[in-house]
Amino acid sequence: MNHYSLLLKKQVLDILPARTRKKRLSDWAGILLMALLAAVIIAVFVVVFSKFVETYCGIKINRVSDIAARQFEIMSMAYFVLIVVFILTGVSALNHTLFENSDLNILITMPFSSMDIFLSKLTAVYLKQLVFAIACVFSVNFTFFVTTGTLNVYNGLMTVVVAVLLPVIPLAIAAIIALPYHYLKTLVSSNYALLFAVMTIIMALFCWGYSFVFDIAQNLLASGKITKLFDENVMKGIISFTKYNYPANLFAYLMLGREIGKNIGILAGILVGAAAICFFLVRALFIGVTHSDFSVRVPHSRKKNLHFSNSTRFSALMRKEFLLVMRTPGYAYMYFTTAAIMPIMAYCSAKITIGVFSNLVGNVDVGFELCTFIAILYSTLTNTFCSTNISRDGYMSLTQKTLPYSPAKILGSKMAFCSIVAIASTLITCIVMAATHLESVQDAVVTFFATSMIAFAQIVFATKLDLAHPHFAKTDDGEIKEANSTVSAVIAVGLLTSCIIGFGLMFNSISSLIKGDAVVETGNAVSYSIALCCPFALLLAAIGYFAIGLKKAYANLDTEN
Amino acid sequence: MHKNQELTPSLQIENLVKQYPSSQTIAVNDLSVVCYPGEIVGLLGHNGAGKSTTLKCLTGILPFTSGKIVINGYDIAKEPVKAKYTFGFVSDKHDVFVKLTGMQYLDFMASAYGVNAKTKKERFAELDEIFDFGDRIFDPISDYSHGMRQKICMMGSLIHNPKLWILDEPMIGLDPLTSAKVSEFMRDYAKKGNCILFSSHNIDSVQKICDRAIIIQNGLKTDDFYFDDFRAAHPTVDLEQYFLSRTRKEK
Repeated sequence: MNHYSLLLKKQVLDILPARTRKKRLSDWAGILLMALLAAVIIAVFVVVFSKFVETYCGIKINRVSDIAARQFEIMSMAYFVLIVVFILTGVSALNHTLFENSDLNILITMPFSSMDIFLSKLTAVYLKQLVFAIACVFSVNFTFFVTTGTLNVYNGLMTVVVAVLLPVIPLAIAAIIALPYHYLKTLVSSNYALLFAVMTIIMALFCWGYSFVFDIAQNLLASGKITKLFDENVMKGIISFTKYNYPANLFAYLMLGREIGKNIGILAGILVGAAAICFFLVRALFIGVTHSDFSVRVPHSRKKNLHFSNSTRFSALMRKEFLLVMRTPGYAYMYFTTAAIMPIMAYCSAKITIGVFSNLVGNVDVGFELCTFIAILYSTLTNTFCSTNISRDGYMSLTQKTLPYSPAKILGSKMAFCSIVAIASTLITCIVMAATHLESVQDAVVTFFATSMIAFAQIVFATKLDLAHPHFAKTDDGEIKEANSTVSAVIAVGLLTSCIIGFGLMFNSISSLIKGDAVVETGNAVSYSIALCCPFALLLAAIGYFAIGLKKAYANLDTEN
Repeated sequence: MHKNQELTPSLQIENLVKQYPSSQTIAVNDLSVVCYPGEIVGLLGHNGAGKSTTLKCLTGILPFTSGKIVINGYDIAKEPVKAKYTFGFVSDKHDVFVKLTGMQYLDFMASAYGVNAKTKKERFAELDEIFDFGDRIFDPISDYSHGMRQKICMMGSLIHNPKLWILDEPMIGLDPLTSAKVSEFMRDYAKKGNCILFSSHNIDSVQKICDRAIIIQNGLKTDDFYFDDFRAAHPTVDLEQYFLSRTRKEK
């Protein structure tokens, strides 16, 4: 095996899921969840995009239908979106490979040529993009061709060719953006409060935008009035944009089999140019990284006062937890940001779901049941962060064992820290739901207690599971960047629990309807009992799991075993 | 007979046995050691001899299979929290919360031992004389070099003025000046009636700093002597040669 192949194999193994010594997948539950999530996303996309294509092709301008023009516009816009998405993923992949992956420090000391290292890294980035491109391009093209009834051998072959070549152009653009992005990211990351604010605002806007678009799309699709959205002015804008939308429009022409020779020629030229830019620019970045030309020294603007606190022993543990989470961008995002936007996510989802449910079933009030289901669902997803409660301390978890704290105090501080954030987030969620009349105040109180009990049960369960099976990070900063079997198990149990309770609540309401009850009362006694008794039972079970063998599990905690 | 042997021992290890559940071999086998206030004891042994495992057992990091460990009068198995108040530990991996600043780390460590703000400040001033951090104490630990992390770990372990100071390979990563200062500090610290126990591969540093050496081979204690006694009994024997001959024989 030559050096390039050897290095490429290493890069590919780094991307693939971790395996145990016996070559078994170490986190099969996580991989299964990811596969399931990807399948759901693709399925939802196929359904929505198919409906959109069908409706858009029916748009008439001046009462004249032009299906061929509409098809071109759809493909041109779709490829524009794909290119933008590939630029974003390309920037992220290049940034990780060039600036964040510490293997370069080791590889440059080994007898590999710098060209071999560079080429293996660039190829790995391309392969990563290629896998994503295959999933995206295949979904877009086949949905489009099947919906329009134009699927043939040419389309099929061209889809494969385009999936292989499309990532090259966005990668060239990503190479241009990679360095400024690296500087910006480093500077923003060093300002923890700013980073938290930026991440929260972006996520909140994303949630709001998503629900806004979904709400409109749902109403328009349900009423069949989507064509009204595309009036004459909007259509003029779309026609003009798609016409000059290079190079996405060229891909659209090619896929639709129009002026094939001419478009292949132009695209071939663009692809060669993009490949050259990508090669030389990434090579320049690579050389710069190996010479440490791009290392950013972030100035620390902290006050240099020698101030020691008079904090209690327990509050010192809590403060330490807060600082460690807040100063690790990944953790701050996973916990504080998701907890901060949980009320928005839950509100938007509850509003949409209640709307969809009313459209599907009729005018049935299931506000309490859906709000409780959604609050529990988002709470369990937000709280998955606590599945690294032990592991995120890394080797320091051993030194911590030498400090004069009982296991209950150390674990208690971690669980208390998680619980404060979880309960605050749940409380705001319930206030928002009650304030926006998605459910009554009384229902919101029950939702709060049900969700809080589930949240606490999850925190307790996840902490003990992580204590029994820790996954310590091997990196210098100790940050756990990859999901592991504990995280996946906590997500799976959380999803399962929320679904069981949610479906139980919904079933209770629907069964009343099926039985022929004239009025289906939301938040009835049975619903309240399900919402409070199930979480309480789970909480007791989680506390039991936590308490049994706790001392032994803590005593046996060792990073080397 | 050592001069402080009439005092309460700083550390009593009686018939300590440690066997890892995943292994057939016994990592520490029937080890008995008593260390007294005022002593500096060096724990010597080759890689995998059982030094780190011994230190992990006596600091409460690892449970042990059998035996008894008493630290400053407290049994580590029965009264772990009380025992832990009386010692400070520095691991060989420079374990430290890298996202905190040096200042925040020391504040956390001091709070963990219940030290009040006034005493924290006084102790910090004393320790900064030796470890010489200056303004770098306000920087995040992630920006520190290997040696600086070792120094901040040492400061953190000393902030509560422990009666027993336990260190695993303490001199690795320290520059010569700090190494000399730490050695001097160790001698002064022991003179104040505290006990220091550290593991090392470096026989030279053990010889220079310690009053006493304990050699462990394959989990067994093979030698335990005071340097004064050793030199008097073997005036022409070099400790390094002695150590190598002992370890070869044991292997």
